[in-house]
Amino acid sequence: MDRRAPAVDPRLGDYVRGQWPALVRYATALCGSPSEAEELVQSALVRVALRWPFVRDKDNPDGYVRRAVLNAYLNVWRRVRSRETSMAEVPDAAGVDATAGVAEGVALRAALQQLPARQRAVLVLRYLEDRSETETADLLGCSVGTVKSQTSKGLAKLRRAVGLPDDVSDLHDGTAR
Amino acid sequence: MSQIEELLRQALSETPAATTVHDPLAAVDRRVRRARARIAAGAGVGVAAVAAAVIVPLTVAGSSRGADGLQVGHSPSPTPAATHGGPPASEAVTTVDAPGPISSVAVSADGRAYAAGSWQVSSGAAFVGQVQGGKLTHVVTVPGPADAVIADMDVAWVYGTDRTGRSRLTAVYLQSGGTAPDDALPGRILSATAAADSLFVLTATPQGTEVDRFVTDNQGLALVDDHPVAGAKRLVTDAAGQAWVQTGRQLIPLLPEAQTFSFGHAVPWPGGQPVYGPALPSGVWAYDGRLIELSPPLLANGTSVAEGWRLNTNGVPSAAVSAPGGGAYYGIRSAAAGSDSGVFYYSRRAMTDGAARPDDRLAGVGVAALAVDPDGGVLLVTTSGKLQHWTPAQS
Repeated sequence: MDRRAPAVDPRLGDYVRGQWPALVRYATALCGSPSEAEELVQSALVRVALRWPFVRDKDNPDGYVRRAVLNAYLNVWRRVRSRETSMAEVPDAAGVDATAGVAEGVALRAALQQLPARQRAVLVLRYLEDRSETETADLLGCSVGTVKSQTSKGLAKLRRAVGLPDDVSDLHDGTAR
Repeated sequence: MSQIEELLRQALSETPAATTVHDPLAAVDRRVRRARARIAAGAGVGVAAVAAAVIVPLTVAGSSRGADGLQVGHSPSPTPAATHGGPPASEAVTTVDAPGPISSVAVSADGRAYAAGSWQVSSGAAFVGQVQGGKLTHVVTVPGPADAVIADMDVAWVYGTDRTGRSRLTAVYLQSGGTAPDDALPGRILSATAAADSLFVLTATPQGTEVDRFVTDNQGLALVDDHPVAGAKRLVTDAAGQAWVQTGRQLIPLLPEAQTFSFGHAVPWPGGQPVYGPALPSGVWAYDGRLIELSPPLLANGTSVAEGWRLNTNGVPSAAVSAPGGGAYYGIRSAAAGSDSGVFYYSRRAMTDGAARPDDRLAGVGVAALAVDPDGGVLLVTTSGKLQHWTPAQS
């Protein structure tokens, strides 16, 4: 049994114990692989632990940790981008039964993984994390206009991937709220 | 909400959160321990570098002090101005009294000069003060060591790396005398530059080099964003206020947002060629065999397009700054083969004439850092840890 004092601050430790599944889900939505997601979250938590003195709200580090996960994801993606298989078009998923919710969800998540990393991140932040456009722009270090355009383009690609008809309401700005 | 948005929201909410890690906290704890151990082990090289840059000069400074603790003021013998054939060494130089050896000097955009150094009588503690009228005022003690000071509006950033290899960063408000709480960083600071109401710091971590962005707030220092940058060498801010990170082959602009930053389009510039700091009107001083005023954004169109003023130097400068009125100062650290140590001053007229000869030269002084004194002349930190003021004859 390791009797040394923990290397991680107890407040961060409590947070990790409580939020680990949610963090892995968030990372899985970003990178598409549960095993990769665990590594992503652990790497981000190590970075947070090493920077703990600079975390402003030590009793609620959720925002800081999620930003760290996002940065880790985008940075990992930058490093492996050259190894990824390039697909000019999202695979045609026409024929998926619209009533088969499970299969549709799988197809949609698979299509999500074919999007460029930052476009994927925009959609995850907007539709899983329920972040506003302003918050999303702040997290990604881009303008609100970029968030809107990336949302619109991402949704259009997903719609084609699952065989839904074009919906002009998605194309103007892609806002959910 | 459209149909695709509803489907996407539903699909994302069903994203599996399967985990194979039984005790995630234990895994993170182990990795944090390993990372800290690597930081400490990897700091050996940094300690050696700091020892060469800081400890050795302090030893020299100590040896030049008399029994009463006052500086004797001995300077190395002047070196003849071999190649430049400039005027004889100027006598218009004074030493600024300081409580210990000085390591760095800098001037903010609003015209305040700051100097940082180590207390002579208190081992491990450092200080930073404002240079006014040839004196060091508003002296504040900060956690040591203080390898460098970065001057910004109303705040001086001081950083250094201690003997264990851990770096410290402190924000000092000299007008109020307060200091923001400092903390050990996750890596070793290699370089820093102020831009956009914040400090960009280049840090070496076990994972590689990264750029961190710090801001000050009422809770002290806050790290607001960080990004890895492979092979990063140093940071610099040009005279237009744009911060750049220099890598092995490129200069990359740092684009700050409210609480984050991103990278702009990189331009080619070899990592082995030094860049020093702002060069009026809008570039940086850099060295490519000559000291040049470089406009990084123009490098995309070719080096010759991006180069402005060009000065032939006798050796690689250790520091370069723009002088009021369009001139320039540069310093040479040591009188190695083919080098003339000292400070060289070029007026705008001399630069316009082709910069064949400096207007004045302070000879025989090893120069570690330079900053234009808002009161006139130039402030220099010698390799023996002295802070000196020099007014060239033609300025």
